[in-house]
Amino acid sequence: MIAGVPAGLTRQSEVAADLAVECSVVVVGSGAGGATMAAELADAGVDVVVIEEGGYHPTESFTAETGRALRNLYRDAGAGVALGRPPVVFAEGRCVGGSTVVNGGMSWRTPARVLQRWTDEGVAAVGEGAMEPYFAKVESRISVALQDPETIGKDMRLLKAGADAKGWKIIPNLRNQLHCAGSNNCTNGCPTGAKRSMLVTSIPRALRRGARLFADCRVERVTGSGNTVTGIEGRFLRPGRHRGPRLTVRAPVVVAAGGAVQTPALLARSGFRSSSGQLGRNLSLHPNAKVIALFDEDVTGWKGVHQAYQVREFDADGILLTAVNLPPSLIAMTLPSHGPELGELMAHYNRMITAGCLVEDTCTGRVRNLPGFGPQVTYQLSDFDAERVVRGVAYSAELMFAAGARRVLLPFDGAPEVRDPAALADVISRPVAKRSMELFTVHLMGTARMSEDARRGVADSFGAFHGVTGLYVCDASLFPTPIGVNPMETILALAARNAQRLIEQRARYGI
Amino acid sequence: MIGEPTLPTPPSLPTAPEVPAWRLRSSLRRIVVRLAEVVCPPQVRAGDVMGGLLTEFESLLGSLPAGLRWLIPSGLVAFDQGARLYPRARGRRFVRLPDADADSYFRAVLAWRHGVLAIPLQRIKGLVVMCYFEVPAVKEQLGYRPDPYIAEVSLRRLSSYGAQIRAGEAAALGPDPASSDPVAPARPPKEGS
Repeated sequence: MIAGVPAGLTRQSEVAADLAVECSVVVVGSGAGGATMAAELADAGVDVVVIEEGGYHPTESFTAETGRALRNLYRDAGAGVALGRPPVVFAEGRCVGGSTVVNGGMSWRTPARVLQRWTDEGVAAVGEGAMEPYFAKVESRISVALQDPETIGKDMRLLKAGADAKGWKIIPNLRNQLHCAGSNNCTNGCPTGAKRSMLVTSIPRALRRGARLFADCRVERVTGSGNTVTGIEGRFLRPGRHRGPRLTVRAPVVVAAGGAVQTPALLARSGFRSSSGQLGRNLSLHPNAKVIALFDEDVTGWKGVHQAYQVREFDADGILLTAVNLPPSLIAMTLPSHGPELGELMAHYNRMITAGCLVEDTCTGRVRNLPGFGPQVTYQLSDFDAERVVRGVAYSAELMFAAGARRVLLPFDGAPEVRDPAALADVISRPVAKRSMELFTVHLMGTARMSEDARRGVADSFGAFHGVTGLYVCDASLFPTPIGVNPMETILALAARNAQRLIEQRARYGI
Repeated sequence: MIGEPTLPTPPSLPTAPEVPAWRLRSSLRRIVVRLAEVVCPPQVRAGDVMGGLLTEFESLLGSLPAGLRWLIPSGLVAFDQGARLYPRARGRRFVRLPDADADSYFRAVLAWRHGVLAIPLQRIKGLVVMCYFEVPAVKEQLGYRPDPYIAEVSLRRLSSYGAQIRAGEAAALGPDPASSDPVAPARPPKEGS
């Protein structure tokens, strides 16, 4: 039972029959891009409807039960896979607030070098100066700040000690948090509301200004007439994802904000084509790899903030290092051992730190919409990026040894446990097969890239789909390239900026 | 509710409806149980840990896409029946193998790099192990007790920063300082279901 739900929110349980509504703008997706767009438009008095495929789960419902969070807050229980060699496991949020409800809350502006690269690639008004007011606005909205020191746990202090011992550059994380308690439950939903996700910021902001939100509703297609959109058609999902009543929304403007996998799939199955041929292509995903380090003393990494620091020593190489505590179930499922051996290893859970690397990738993958199967993602890691993954893993392991780790488990199938830097160097010096790498990601980008040139990009510099009147894209699909840092703030700032442009052009759509 | 500045509440308070579990046939349950006995630590046979694991596994299946919900049981059946071809099994299914042979068969399938079952089995093993470590008694045994910790730091947060938190929450919903945005009066909440 939920004590109350906000006005303006409609869930599947409240809809008994087919429903048809009209509005000025319909936004598909309530994550970073969709919620920000909706709040900005509602602020300006635009009649907005937001559609979210996932359920409404308020702060009070968040617990430390990982299985429960995977089932309720993630698409396909976080079991997405980009097929390739190696396969890359990915997770997307599917709930009101989208992935901002389950991310780690890292809030970094787009690096200046990336904005310059985007400018060079033909995106207008995206320089540092032009973006500054939007970054400032969204940072204020979601309370971007450094972590209060008392919330920094032992795992993070060890990470810093390791980086300091190596002489590597390490910086405190900027996070969207309002005096975060350090409960280390970010990926299960913040149980205090301190993480300023869309669930507790832009969604209630939009609702307060008259926006309507339909949860538990899957948009099946964007409708159109000629080269002009007319709205969307969707279905409410009953428990068990059984199809419920229809929802038809008529609107002169449709904003697709379902993320870099769902957005191109939705647009493709709705029959929209980009003359650039880039819809669904150009997928970047910041491949991540982790090491598990075991220490002699208790670390209890679950006590303290999720990520307090990032190691930025290898920025020039596009490699970022950090440590993230994972609950026992998620660590255990990736370990190669089983039976008594697994039990023996997991008995040291409180002495483990999970450190890892993020690589700014140079290769790209693709999202295809397969009728009957939904979006299918393919991605082939290039040799160049694979080499950097191996290097990132080696750096992560070195960092852990410098912090005092006694044993480190590597994310390469069949690799031996290493007990000192010399053994690590020995393992890394041998070729590491790509198929043996265990990779994952939560950063998917680029499948509807921006460019003023319709031959190069799916959308223009402000997210308007080339050649289709009234259709906008508003999520990480727009990124022309990967950005090398956590993407949430970039999505928010672009959404605020693109909303501003849409508001300026509202007369064009009669909204 | 969202839309109002709220103070944090302990994580054990009312929750949203759960995704309904997917019920496995009893024959499939037997395979999952036997697989869990092989891949999980020996404590899986203690008390009602196996019951908790099965509940978690079925709940997880309920949240997977239909294709995976079909593939996983198919993989389990293939793995179970495939044991008949394993020399040490002497024609028996996986669920009927004694512990040593069951473990040996499991290792053999995983090690068979070009076998069609190796990767799916690795994934299914991961899911079973994950469900085992989600059982509360198992987490307790590891010394992983997040709930009291979360309650403690939530209170610390409130007592240290309560006023700032309330002001910050209100600011996120209030008028934008850079505009003349008039905030619509908050509408009364609907009753929950």
